[in-house]
Amino acid sequence: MFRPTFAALAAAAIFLTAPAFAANYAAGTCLPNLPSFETISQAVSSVPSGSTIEVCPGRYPEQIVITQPLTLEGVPNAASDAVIVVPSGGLSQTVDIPDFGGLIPYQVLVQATGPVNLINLAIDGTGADAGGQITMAGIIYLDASGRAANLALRNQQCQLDGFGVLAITTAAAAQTVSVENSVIRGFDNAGMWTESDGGPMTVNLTSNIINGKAATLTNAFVYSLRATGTVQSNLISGASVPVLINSSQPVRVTENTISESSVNKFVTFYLTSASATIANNRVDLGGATGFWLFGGATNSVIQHNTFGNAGLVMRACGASGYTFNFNTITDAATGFMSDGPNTMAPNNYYAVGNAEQSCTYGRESMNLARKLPGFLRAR
Amino acid sequence: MSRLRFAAFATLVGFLTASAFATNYAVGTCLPNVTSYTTISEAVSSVPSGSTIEVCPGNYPEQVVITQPLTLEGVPGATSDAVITVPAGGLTQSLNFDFVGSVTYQLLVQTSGPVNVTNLAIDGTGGAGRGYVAGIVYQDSSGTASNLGVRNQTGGGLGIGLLALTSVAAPQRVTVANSVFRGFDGVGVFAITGDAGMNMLTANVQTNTINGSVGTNSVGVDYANATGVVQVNQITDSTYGVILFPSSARVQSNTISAKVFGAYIYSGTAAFTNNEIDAQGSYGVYLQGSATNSVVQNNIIGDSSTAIFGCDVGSGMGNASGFTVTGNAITDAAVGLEMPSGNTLTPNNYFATDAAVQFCM
Repeated sequence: MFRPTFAALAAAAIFLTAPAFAANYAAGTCLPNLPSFETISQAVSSVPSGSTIEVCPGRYPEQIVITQPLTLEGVPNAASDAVIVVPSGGLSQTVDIPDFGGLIPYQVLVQATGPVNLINLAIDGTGADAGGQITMAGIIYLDASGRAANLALRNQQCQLDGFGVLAITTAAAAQTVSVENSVIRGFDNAGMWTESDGGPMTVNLTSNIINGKAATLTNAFVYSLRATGTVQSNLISGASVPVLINSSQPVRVTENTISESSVNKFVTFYLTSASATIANNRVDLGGATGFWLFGGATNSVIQHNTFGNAGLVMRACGASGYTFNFNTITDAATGFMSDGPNTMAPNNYYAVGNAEQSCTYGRESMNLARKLPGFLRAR
Repeated sequence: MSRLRFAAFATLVGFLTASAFATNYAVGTCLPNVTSYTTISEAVSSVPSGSTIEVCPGNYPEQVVITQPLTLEGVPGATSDAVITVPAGGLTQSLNFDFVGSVTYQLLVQTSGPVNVTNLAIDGTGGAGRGYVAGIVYQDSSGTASNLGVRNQTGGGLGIGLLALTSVAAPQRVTVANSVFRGFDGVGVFAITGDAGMNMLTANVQTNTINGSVGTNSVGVDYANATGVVQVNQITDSTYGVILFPSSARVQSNTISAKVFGAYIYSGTAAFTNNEIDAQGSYGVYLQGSATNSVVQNNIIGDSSTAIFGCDVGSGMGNASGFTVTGNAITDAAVGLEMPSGNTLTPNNYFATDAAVQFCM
């Protein structure tokens, strides 16, 4: 009895010793007993791989590049927060992502490494367009993995396309990024955009509050070009096209509460050739159109959702391979339009003007078709 | 075994026979085998108490008054809906309550009930008048309103989707479920009691979609001296998400995005728990007055100027006291808590929040 206990104790002691060199560092001066750095940039490039860096309350006007595994977190239970802000000259550093339109300014860039965890920080993009930038992102995970949790990602807006989080692969390795328990708001393109221009890219969005109230054409999240992942238990509002899935790989959108923007309303779900599961969500469609479906889907299913306050809930005209059933729809002008081989029943309709109407290809669809290449970056 | 089964069957038949006189009637012409009426008003006053009236698809420009227990429902599974609309001459019939004033209605329930209303649209377009205008009024009544589309009740900020109101000393219970309330410029669901009816009204409001984007001063759910449970509603774009003024209601597991306050709780013995609030840069929960242990617990509040605020800044309602504010997760706030002393304020979790706790100036 004594020997195993002693052995376990010895093993524990070794564990404690071994990673000690990778333990806590600080940015700022609030933790005088820790090795401290003046800037976050200094810290992330100086500490050993796998370290945890505690960031003291304060404002950090920096563009930060992380190229090794580490955890960067605002000091837990501090009386005020650590905020990464735009340097006075604007965002001068960029990263080249040719498949995503070239040089992208960023606030935090995590590149070719992982896991990198970003926790309990505010990242404020106010002033990001000082240098005339038309694109920028709060956080970019480029060929990188990690977890972003308890963040405030705000005001990522510039002349055109501001993103809260961008997660992209260009190399062959598979990557996974989790975004959890965060507030993402004030972006003018997408709260989160992910795509695979290389190996498999998985993004899981869980329990976030996402509000796209800043601009006219916004997405809460976008899965494009083979990106995959799960979007669960988020509260999403204020976006003109909250859900955009343009990926052939599985994307699961479950148990979210989504409301279409009351201004600049457009369409709540936009799916092209998707392999998506949209289930158990509660959606206020804001009097607008619920779904525009395009292309040949690979078994995309839309089931067990509650939709309310709609013009047209489901438009599946010129689309095929979608299943839309076991949903509850209350207070809509029209339930669905479909002319492809799709499954559109059974659903429950309450206070709905017409459960079904024939597909039309009028001015509205032409207008939508004209607008969308901007979202999809015309690729 | 077979005797028992037969007995059960016989009982069932007995039930069916006994209630046969109270079963289906119709409004409209879609159910030719059922006794049918031309208008909803005719039907609700003519059928025996306890009947079910199926309403055929179509528009019904009527003000409907129900004074006996019954069920009024749109024909289930119909391909289009039954809509109660405003008559061509506008809404001419109204009630007067000493503590509210004039209330014009589209559907009025005036019986202890139960009166169940389901699968109907109630559209207030063109119904603006003097004073309040409500889609549905339960006056000293009980029943269930479910699967409804209640919309466009407007008029100078006094449009109400559903008003449950009790002013006599008899307990009433109103359930509002699985419905959409939108296009109102005042209140989505309003549960209120007058002096004699104090706390006599239990209103349960659950799994509704309530969208207040039309009003500049709109309220999603408003309780005044009423009690009950408000749960799993999606409350969007109101000026004020939930108001408890005061109440012993339990408000739980709702999602709220509001422009000025996610919730306002005055005094009372309320429980506001497990809600998720997108405060859109304004106040998450605003507390006032002396509470008898009202609790604000385990909520998630994001994007607020102040997540939970309890200081009297000139309203005269008094600083908050007697509130328990614990277990909340606050992310992206300028100020987490701004509260006076006299409340329980720890523990809470603050993330990316500029100032966790401040006391009133």
